[in-house]
Amino acid sequence: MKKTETQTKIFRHFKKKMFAGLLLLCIMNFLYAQERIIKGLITDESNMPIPGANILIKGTSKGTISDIKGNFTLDLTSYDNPVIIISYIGYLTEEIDIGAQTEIQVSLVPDLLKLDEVMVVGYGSQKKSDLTGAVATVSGEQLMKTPSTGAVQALQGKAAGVQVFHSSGMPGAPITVRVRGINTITKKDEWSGVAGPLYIIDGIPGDINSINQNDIEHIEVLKDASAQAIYGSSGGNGVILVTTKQGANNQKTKVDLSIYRGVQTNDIPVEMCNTREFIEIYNTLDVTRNSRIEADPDTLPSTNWWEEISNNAVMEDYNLQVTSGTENATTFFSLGYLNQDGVVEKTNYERYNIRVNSTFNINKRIKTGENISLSATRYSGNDGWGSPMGAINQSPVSYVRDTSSTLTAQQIRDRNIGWEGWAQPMFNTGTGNPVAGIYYDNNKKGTYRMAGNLFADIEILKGLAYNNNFGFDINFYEEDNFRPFYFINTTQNNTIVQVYRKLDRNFSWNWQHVLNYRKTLAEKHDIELMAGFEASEYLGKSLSGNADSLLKNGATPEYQYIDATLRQFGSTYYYSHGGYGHSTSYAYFGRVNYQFNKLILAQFTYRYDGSTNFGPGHRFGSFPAFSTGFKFSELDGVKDKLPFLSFGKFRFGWGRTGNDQIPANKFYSLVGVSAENGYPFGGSGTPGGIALAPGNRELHWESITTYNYGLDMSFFNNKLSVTADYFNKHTTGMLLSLNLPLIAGRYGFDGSDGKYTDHIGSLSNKGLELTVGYKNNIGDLKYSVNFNFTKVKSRLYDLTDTITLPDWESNPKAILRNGDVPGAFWGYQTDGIFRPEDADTIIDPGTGRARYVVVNQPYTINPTTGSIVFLQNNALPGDMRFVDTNGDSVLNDKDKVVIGDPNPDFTFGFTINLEYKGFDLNCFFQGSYGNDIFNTCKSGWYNSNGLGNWVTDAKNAYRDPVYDEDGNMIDPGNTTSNQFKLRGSTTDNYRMSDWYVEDGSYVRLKSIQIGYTLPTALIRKFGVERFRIYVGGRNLITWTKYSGLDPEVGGNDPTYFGVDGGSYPQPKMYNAGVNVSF
Amino acid sequence: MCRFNYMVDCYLIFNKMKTINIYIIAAIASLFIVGCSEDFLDIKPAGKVDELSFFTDTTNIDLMVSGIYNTFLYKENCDIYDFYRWCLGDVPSDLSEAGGDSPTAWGEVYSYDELSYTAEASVLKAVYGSMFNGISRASQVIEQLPEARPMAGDEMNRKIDIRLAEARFLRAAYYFILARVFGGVPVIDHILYASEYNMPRGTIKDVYNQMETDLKAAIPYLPLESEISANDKGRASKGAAQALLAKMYVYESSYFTYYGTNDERMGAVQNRWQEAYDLCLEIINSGEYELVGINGETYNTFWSQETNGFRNLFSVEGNNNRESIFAVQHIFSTGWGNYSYGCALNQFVGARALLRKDGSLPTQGDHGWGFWVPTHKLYNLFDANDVRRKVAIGQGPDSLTGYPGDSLYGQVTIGGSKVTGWFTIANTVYQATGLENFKYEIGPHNSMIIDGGFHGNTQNMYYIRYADVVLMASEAAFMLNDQANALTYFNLIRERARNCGDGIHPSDLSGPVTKQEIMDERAREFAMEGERFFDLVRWHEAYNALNGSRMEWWDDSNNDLIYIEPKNDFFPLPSFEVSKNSALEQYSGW
Repeated sequence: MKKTETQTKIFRHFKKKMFAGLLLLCIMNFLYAQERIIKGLITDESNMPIPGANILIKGTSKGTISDIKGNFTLDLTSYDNPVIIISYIGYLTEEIDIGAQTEIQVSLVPDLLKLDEVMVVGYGSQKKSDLTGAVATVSGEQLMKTPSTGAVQALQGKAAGVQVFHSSGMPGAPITVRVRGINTITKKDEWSGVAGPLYIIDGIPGDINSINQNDIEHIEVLKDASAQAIYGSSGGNGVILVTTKQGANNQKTKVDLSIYRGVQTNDIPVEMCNTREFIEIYNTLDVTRNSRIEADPDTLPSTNWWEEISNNAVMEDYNLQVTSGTENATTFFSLGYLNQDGVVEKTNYERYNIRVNSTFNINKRIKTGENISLSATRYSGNDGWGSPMGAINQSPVSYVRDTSSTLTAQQIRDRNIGWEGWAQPMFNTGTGNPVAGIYYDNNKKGTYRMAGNLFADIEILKGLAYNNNFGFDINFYEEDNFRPFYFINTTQNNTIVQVYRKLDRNFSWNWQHVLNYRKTLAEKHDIELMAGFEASEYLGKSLSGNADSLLKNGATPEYQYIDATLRQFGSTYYYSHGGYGHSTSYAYFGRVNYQFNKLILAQFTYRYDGSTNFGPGHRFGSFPAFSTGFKFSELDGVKDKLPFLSFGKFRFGWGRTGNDQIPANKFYSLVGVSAENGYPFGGSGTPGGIALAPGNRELHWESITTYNYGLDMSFFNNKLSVTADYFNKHTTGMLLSLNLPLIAGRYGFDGSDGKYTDHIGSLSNKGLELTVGYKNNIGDLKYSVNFNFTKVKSRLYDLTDTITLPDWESNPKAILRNGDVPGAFWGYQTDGIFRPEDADTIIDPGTGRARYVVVNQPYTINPTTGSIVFLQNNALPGDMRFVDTNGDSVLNDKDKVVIGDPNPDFTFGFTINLEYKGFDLNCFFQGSYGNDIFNTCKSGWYNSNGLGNWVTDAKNAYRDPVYDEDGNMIDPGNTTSNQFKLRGSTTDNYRMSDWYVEDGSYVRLKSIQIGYTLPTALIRKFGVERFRIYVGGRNLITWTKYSGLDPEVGGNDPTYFGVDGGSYPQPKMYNAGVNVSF
Repeated sequence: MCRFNYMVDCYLIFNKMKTINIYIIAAIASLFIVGCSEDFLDIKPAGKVDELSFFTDTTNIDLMVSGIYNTFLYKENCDIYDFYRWCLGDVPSDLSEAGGDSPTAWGEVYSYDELSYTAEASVLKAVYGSMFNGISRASQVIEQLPEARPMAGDEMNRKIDIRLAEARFLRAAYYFILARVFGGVPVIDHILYASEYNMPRGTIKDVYNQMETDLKAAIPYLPLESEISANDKGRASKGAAQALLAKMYVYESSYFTYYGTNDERMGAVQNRWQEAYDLCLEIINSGEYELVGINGETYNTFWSQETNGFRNLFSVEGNNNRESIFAVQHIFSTGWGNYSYGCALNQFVGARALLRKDGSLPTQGDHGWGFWVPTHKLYNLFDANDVRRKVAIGQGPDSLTGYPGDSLYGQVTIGGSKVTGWFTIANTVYQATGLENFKYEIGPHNSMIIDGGFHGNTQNMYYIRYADVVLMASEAAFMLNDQANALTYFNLIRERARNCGDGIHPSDLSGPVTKQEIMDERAREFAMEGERFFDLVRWHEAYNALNGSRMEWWDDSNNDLIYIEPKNDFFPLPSFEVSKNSALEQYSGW
């Protein structure tokens, strides 16, 4: 057999440097028998047998597979100079020249870099070593180390360039995924925020939230445009390719069972006042507006509302997987059940999964199969009064509930006990009882889905293959909401018994045809051509209805059906609504790969995409990409001069992708005709028709162009691997749906009906990614360390206008401005606190009256009255000093500046794996640095009037000195505090300012697992192959300076990111589990 | 079609895979590459109609014009039209206060009382936004419909003329609200394109010019009130357009008289007292309207079977009475949300805690929330026996039982069954002033009682009533130094009040009509109707009436009002809009 010189060198090098003493034990035994059968044993680097390894006679399709003890036999009769290829996932593939051997032992070497791992790329696969784009891969095994409710959650911190942000710890809460920074600020629709990455499941776009993470073999993330552009219009936000597990041919049936159960604790890092502390602060408020509480705190209740609404909660995950394979068919079957109770009462997430993946070889040339998944997810959540902040901020001076009949009428009044025994805070009537809020809340949602794909691979000619892949997704979404009658007080009540139900039915299909051709010319030129066509259609219908004014008595949740028998009034108390969505797209795409001499790589891809989201004339977009790679380690002589270098490749890529993920029909101007838009004439309603949002006929694709420079290197026999990427990405023609100015006449429309979508400017993202891995062993101790790092800097440019957001809010917190990051925090700058020495009594020249005011600040003179108007005209010592940034001595919107950046400077993940004999330890840290959080909770926690509870730190707020009647100071107060005074009335202090902005950097021990695998010898007699038990935890330790509930504050809208409204904190969890294989 | 072919082709592939030569399969596969065309992408929005085809179709004329009126029903908690009259037109004045349990009971409403509102106040944004909704809806109809007007029969064309005139009236009506609240605003008379979103504000005169154009174009086409059929009650009449134009002349002339022509907010306003007077007279002489109860007639309402005429004006039974020139129509509506046909004001500001006469509480819905209460200054403006005080102000059980018709008798639905009984005001709920707003009926019509909702009350809300025309005639005559006619119309108002009450009080004004008398009479006649603050500003009297005065919430000087001129004359433009529209400038002081 002939090899190129380079290949020979590699081979020789491997033999010499890497596998010496490990790889081959050659017993020279030349036999020229008629029948020739070779026996072999395949082991790993520590001589443990590897079952299920593939053994193939080179140049044929004949082969076998190693048995449970790693043994195989192979008939080599009639082969001259046979060469066998041994491959096993996660290990380097070996080619062995058998010569005359009859018995061999092969010790496979782990593929640390996974260079020859086949990675899934758009509409095909490639060897990792041949990649020219930026692609990250995460194995299913890595995902499973972190107990999580889904694959997306588990992906956090696992891959450079992929940032995962939680916005809430509520079970089933949405998670934001960013591939290389903020790609777009356009919301896909009003509810789900900005479109995340495109998820491709076994080749077909799908919903990752329905996938059981246990079923995932591996995930690839296409990070740069040269890799993404094959997905064209939908690839711009990153593409995440999920490959589910498959059986292997000729495989013994294997059963894996994995179970864990954990308990999540309801600890929160924020300490709120108890009644004694509350009263202490309350009584320092200015007395003109608030009465003092003179009662002895010990005679009053002291309720910790968070404790009342939360509990330690269970999370559990059960999985059963069966894999099997015959010569012509393989199958993978799995069952999964996941249940997560929220630490807040009545929050829960449950998921049931069934998956069947099979392949069938119809003949030598045709292979078909299917991947089908059934799933049901159900979750219940609550909001309003039952939300964490509703409870945390509630006054402690309250009973919770008392329904005992022994209370006297006086006690009932004193304790503020009302309807059905629910109590209200005693010094703050009229706000809600959070426990009651949850008690009366009944809100359930569920998604039921069947999704999957059917495929056929046909080898038309040698090297020319045709792939047909048809995917479908049928799902039902339902929502049930029941609001019983209750009346606790005038603000917390529901006087109309309501039932609401919604059912969405969605169907989509996607059909792909791909032709693939591979050819090697003149032995040096490897060429691969791919061309394809894809079409898809989505059809969604929804129906919802509600019934109002059901019978108040007995209308408990069991009766929550839209059922005529319980109605109190006539048929007008029924409402129904419908929705309809329909979109289509199709595309042509192609790819050319060229490799010269295994040294130089080049790739060109092109996609032509059409989408219904744009109007005639703007529907189509072209998305080309080019990339190249250079394996410099394979150059002659490099490895001799740099013996520590095992592999080195430089990559460059350029490409363009698009984003069409905007709400449908934005190019149409539509009219809404309904009774609600009408008016009553002559005592009866006349329906009306009104213009909704004006359409924009000029809308076209957002275009994202990326340059990527990458370097893959490994050293010291691949023990150390490094991948680094620098990228420079530009999103141009950025789309944004903005509320129209009021003069456009669309005020008060919900959702997108009052908005206008237009191209507003451009966005650049520049960043650096680094992945470093090291793996080695010290005697029996095997260890590996992996580190990934992502730094992205986003900047807006070419904006035609400065836009403050959210644009419906009168106090916008964020701004879009040239040169800034999108969604930079926007507000007033503060400069400490006014001290007593800043104030004085002056005679106002206008009124002639004396007034005590802070004089140490800019002022203007009112031209009409002649009065002095100070910058903060009513400021007194203890108030916050705002900076008059524009120097006009008037404090207004023009003084607002950028006061923070919610996006991290960098994020990182860090994993340590240790194995010692049967023991293993996995620690995973994840963190974020340099992100600011807008902590809106602070206005409540340092509130001015005692209408809610304070954090205990509010005790340290500024207090005025207190004097007796003779002017002697009887209490010096606290005039050196840096926390403004709690005034007892609303003041300027709560303006949107940098007071709210805090450093949100954190490092979190995201997960830890300590396991023990029982020795095989011990368990085999019970028919068990593997038995591992472990204990672990999630979110156990967090290092942060952030004072709020949780530093993981995300959000699916980059323009309103990192704003902490008191979200549900990420719970800590302790868990224990077993993995058993038969 | 394309999709169908596609299915068939692939069906073939699956079925014949084994038998047909794979070269043929490849050929079929290649067909897909050319098998689809753009019509696959051409999907019309389902169940929706686009603007051009809707607004150019005259058969939709009733739908389009209802949509313009619909602006009056827009709700953000309360109806925006009522928010405007209550929070902007009255609470900032000297004659009413924000109510509730405490000053902080409804912070924003209190901020209007305390004159501490800012450009970020939500009512300001909602008023500005919803009025421009109405303006833009009107402009769309006015601009697009005539283009496509068919050669229809006379009747159809007459109807279109009327509806277009209604659209013009409404556009003017919305502009008048904007100019009263904000002063000058951008003046738009067409469908606005994205390129025009940055538009500067005009002067008040600019706004009034637009109003005048629209109203003068509308008046010839609008029917008389008496020509409007029962099915169309509530639509704009000729009298409505004339009355609005007269009121606009009164405002313009007031600015001219009291501010002069150099105030850049008002622009080149003119003296139009004569035009105002002539127009008022035209309305008066048309015989279309009357002061209800001027001859002592009584009416059957839930209050009493012999309710006096003035009380009847503020009852559900009195909807669309002979004095109502234009009123926002309300009918019972079960719906919640932004555009219920009902009215929410009664629930928000109605007197608190109606009890049955035996002291039992029927349901919590039998009383209002009392967020708008009269001051003692208003109370003291009245003659003690002026029926208008009893209609406007409630004062606890003793005085309430005395009128009208002794106590409150009605039928209330409680728990699904009808309960008939007597109701009275409980004196158990604290209010800043101890006085209750009584012009907004709380009784069996209250939707809170009927279905627990507060958006479903059925009392119409006046935009302009005939008494206003009569008093404007008096004021205009006074300004024109025509004392005789000034006194005639002035005393017409007193006569009605007298004949609705004890027949003695209030007595006729004997002395000359003065500005002060007109100010006070308007305060009495339109107490709690959202006129006072706007009147004070046009008379240039707001500073005198308000600065240094004490709200009845407080008994110390810490919170005495500071009225800043010219800042507080008009409300600031919503900050939302200023941030969207770089051409907008706030008035001095904001």
